[in-house]
Amino acid sequence: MSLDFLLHPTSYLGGVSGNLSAYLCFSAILFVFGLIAALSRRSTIGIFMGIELILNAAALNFVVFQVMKKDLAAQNWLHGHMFSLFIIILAAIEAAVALAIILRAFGSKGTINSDRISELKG
Amino acid sequence: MSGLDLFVLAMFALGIAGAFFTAFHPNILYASISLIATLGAVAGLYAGLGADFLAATQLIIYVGGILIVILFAVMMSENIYKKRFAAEAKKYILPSIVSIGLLALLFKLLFSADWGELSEISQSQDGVTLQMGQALSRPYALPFQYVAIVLLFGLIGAVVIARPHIGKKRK
Amino acid sequence: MTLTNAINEFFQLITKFQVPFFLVSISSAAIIILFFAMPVSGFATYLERKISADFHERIGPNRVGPWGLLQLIVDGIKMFLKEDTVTKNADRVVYNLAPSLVTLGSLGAFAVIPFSAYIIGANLNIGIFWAMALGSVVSLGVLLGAWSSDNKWSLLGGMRGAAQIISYEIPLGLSVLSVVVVSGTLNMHELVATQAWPTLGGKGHFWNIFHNPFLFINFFVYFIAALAECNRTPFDLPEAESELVSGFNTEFSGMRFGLYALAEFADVILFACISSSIFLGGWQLPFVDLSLLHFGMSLGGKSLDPVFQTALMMGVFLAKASVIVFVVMWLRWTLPRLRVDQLMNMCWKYLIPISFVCVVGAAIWVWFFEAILGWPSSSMVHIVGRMLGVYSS
Repeated sequence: MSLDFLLHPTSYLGGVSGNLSAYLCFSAILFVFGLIAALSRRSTIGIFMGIELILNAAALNFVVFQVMKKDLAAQNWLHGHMFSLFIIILAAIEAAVALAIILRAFGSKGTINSDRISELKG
Repeated sequence: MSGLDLFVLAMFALGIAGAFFTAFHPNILYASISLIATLGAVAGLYAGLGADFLAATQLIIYVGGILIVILFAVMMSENIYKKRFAAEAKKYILPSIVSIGLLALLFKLLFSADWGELSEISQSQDGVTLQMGQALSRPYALPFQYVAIVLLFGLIGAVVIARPHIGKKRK
Repeated sequence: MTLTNAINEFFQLITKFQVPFFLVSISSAAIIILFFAMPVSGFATYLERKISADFHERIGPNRVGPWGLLQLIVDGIKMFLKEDTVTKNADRVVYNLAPSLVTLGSLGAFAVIPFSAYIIGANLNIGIFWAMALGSVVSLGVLLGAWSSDNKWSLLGGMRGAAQIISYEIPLGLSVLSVVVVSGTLNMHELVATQAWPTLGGKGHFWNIFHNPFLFINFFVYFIAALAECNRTPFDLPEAESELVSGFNTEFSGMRFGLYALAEFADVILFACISSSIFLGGWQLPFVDLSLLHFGMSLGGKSLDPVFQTALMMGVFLAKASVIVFVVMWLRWTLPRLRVDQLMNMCWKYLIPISFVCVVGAAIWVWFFEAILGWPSSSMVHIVGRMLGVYSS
């Protein structure tokens, strides 16, 4: 890539708001960071936040496809938006239950480190 | 470059920075604060895509609800300044390598895939809120009720789990 | 207008004038704060002191300017010049972030307030929902500010504040929902426009509070829930000064405290504006439709009607809003503070069931009169008019 990119960044980045791949890249990055957080954090709250990132990436993808794909946009019922809405609602339920479990575990074990809450391990 | 492009780029930058710190910041409170930035950026992207209702829903449920609950849990559970990154650093190595490999795979997939016929974002003044309402009251009426029932039972379950003395007799 | 349109318009302005983005955002925020929110909120602090003085049979501020009117400028200067202290173990980043989150939440919602049929910041198609969504950011600022200042009283206040705000958002949302059920729109301008006096063949249904009995009840539910949302007495538990020193903003001083205080008054004014526009008809008056008035004056061939109409509408709107602000201040110096358990009982055991019943009741009311009987409007005014034979069609 030549130095043109630095001199005229606008000509390369123009039209990014209508570019399907740009959104997909963004949500892929979000997904991967969420995965890293969920796999490597030891705090259960950290794991939970990673899962929230993954859910957000997925929900964004649904809307992007709905808005940009011509055959989907021609349909009446906005299936992509509906999926995102349901993801957001279910995430709220998940948050309530997960944090109730976390607080309970903290109450009985005194820690929320997932390595030390391991009584169910066989 | 239109104004919307500028906005979307800013949201991309905010979202990726927030997601990075959510994954890697040693202090769990700062991680949750950068999660605010990411969720806000996703709300902004919804707004840019013409999904107004979803943008506001994202703000009201994630920022006003879920993040508050996360912050409650963070503040009530751990001594957050005690944790140091060095102790946990090696736990990041393997997941990071695997995830970056996955990212490369995803990028390869989405740049080589054929997405079919694409359309522009509609710039209509009406938005899709009315359409969403109609969808919720016609084909999605039953799933919506189902989600409502799941929400009810989820909340009851959360209360039952969180209360320590439920089922035992009080003195 | 959708959010996408609003973003486009805003950024087109920037690209047109070729100035750096951060300059524009900073200056536009400064303009909003300097020319609307600061003076109005500052005036509200003056009003609050005068009204409280009246209730205590004192005189109140009377030294600076006529009737002490310039007190708000002096207070502002004091805020700016005060030493900006930070507690030793405070978390600096969060400590600086929290007041701006609160300010963002309360000032951003002003964009959708319809001051007249012609003056509205952004005529969003999700108007009222947008105001509620930004309102939920406030609780985040309260909680973070309380935690970061490293003070037990602050933390207690912040926890109370967050719990109170997210609980009372439910009755608030339900009572707004009942209005939306009746009006069939989320757009603030249309919400006000549908509340016109029902002229012959017109579409209006008069003020939403008099639309049906359920909305009348829900107005009071909305009022109580909104009082709790802006942490006003009798729900000012987050800053209960007799228990928690000053609650979540104990450790804040100087301009940071100024932002919290400003946000509180901005919240009260915002809530007065919203409730007067969705329940009390906004700029609509009974017996006359202001947007149809003609004054017969023109300047250079252009009719001056919109100017006069705007002046009248803004007068009506601000009069309604200031009556509500006065009632809020009246309540502050009249009612004692609730206990925490009483607060939660009131929300979960009384307000939420009442507002649920009212939402369903309003929906059935509209369905019965408009779908079963096929009347063009289901408002009480319309029904009475039919009984008297005015609207027989």
